[in-house]
Amino acid sequence: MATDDFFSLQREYWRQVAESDGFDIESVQIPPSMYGRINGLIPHNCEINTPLPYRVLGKHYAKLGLHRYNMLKGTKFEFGRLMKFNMLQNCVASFYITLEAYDYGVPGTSHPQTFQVRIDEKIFGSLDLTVSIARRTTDEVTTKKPFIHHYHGGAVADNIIFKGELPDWPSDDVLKDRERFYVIMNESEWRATAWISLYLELVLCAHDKFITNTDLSRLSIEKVAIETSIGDALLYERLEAKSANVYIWFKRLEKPRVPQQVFVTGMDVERKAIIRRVMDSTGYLTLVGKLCGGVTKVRQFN
Amino acid sequence: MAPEISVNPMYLSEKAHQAPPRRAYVTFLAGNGDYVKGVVGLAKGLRKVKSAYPLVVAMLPDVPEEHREILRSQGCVVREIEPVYPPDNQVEFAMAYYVLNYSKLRIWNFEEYSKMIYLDADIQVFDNIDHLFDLSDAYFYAVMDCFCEKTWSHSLQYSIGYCQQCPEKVTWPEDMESPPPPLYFNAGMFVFEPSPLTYESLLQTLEITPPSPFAEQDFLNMFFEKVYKPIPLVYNLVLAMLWRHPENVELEKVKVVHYCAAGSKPWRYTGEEANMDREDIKMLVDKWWDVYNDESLDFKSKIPADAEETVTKSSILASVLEPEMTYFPAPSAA
Repeated sequence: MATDDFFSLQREYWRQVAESDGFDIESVQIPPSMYGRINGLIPHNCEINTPLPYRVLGKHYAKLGLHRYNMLKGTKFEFGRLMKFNMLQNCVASFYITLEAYDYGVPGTSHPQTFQVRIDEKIFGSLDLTVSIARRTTDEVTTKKPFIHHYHGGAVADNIIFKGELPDWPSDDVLKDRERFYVIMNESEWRATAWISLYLELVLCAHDKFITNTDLSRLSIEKVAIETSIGDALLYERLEAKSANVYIWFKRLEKPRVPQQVFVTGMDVERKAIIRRVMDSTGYLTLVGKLCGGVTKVRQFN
Repeated sequence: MAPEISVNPMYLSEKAHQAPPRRAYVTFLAGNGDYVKGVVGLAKGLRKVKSAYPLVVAMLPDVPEEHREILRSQGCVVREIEPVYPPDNQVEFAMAYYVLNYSKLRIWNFEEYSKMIYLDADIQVFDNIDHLFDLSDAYFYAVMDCFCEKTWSHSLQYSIGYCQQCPEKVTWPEDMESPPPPLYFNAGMFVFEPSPLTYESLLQTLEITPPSPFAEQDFLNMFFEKVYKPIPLVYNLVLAMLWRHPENVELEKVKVVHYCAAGSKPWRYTGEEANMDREDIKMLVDKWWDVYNDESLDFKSKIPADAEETVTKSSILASVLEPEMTYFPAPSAA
């Protein structure tokens, strides 16, 4: 095949993908002669009810996109159903998700609205991702950027405590610092905040993309603490903070599966997870998390 | 004679309480053909360079028992694996037999090992490379491939004459309006971390990925693109480099030779195919045979041949001596 022909076909493919920012690619055609040579996005039509590549991850990523939208807009959209799920084949992938959601913040509204969510992963086997797009299809796009199929950046916190590596689990004494932490003891308080369980489940899904809904449904959150840079903040202020570390105690995860780590098994074992949320002026939401308490499988020499 | 390694008894006693990481070399074998010779050669080559780690042979069920016994007698750990097939497709592979290579994805399920170095059966190791096991975790390490051979004729870079081995020679055209292709590694040699989680992701992703001309090599390049780190070509000398990019090759420093060029397999070598009459090729083929025919390199075991692991003095020493870490600056593809 001539150079120009090959290049033209490749350029044409990505031009078509870019037209919809990667979300609507079912009509993008690859000539038979080029099949297997242009491995761009893998489309997945959720409406024909075929299994997703990752069983539960798709819905969680969709919900995370809605979470970002709600935080920015002050809305109360809730997930309805997946419509499309396009992804890169990389182990550190990008996902282009189209979904329907319902606005429970507006009485009398029953019709679903269509959203587009883009998730860019940064690390394999651990939670580190950025929601770079979360919009309604009816929203006006005012800052059109060149299409890049995998975004490598993330939101940047304006406070040092939310930069760098995730912190170690704080001691009981440190957790008593009310200026720094708000410990949610009342179950109804954290249950009323759906994103807390979402964050926990995202940590587990990131470690093990093949975790099942059954595994997740068994989880029992025991306690939650939120760390913010706002001293003496009220609970709602911490929940809505642009940057926060969320510490979750939970049980009923029998066999955690984390790459290169070993955990004590058992349904009644208390487990801990840390999740950091950062949103900045770009509107991006970056989530980094880890399951605590594991031991590296092989001890390394000093 | 090389000086004997001195081990402080106190140090040995102290370190012996720490479980050493389980590491191994691994190769892939399919069919009843002559590739078993390549594996034998590889096993003996690793012994010659005094590698501290065993060689695991991941083989398909069609490998006959006689070949398995040969490999066991050479101290290899034999592991049978099931075939893996790509989605049905009309894509023509660059070589028809490449489709078999998808089965080597099974090695990611060898979770009893924390880190492995994969070596194709047509590879020979001429210098110790055990230090590669100490590269940082969470990355995929391999040598960049060369785009200049005819087997790459399907690619845009071949048509342009661009090769990542010498990007300054034929630069990526500015008017292309797209960046150069991402770094592309040769999958005949790589350093990786087995993990059932990665293994499941690999197979799941394979189900939805169309096959492409270089089969599993293309697939691995796509899958690990974001975590790939190149290592120097001395760890996987693709023979085509000798005539395509001789300026990049210091033959005396090469540690690993990959006999992947057409006609270069030492056990089939005739010298008749293109470039096979070169003196450096002849020398490398002879070097391979020197190892293969060296009876002193045959495995000599005092424990049952079917033992899961091969225990040697060097493997004991490996558990107490930390290889010196070498810094590998990533070659620039710009």
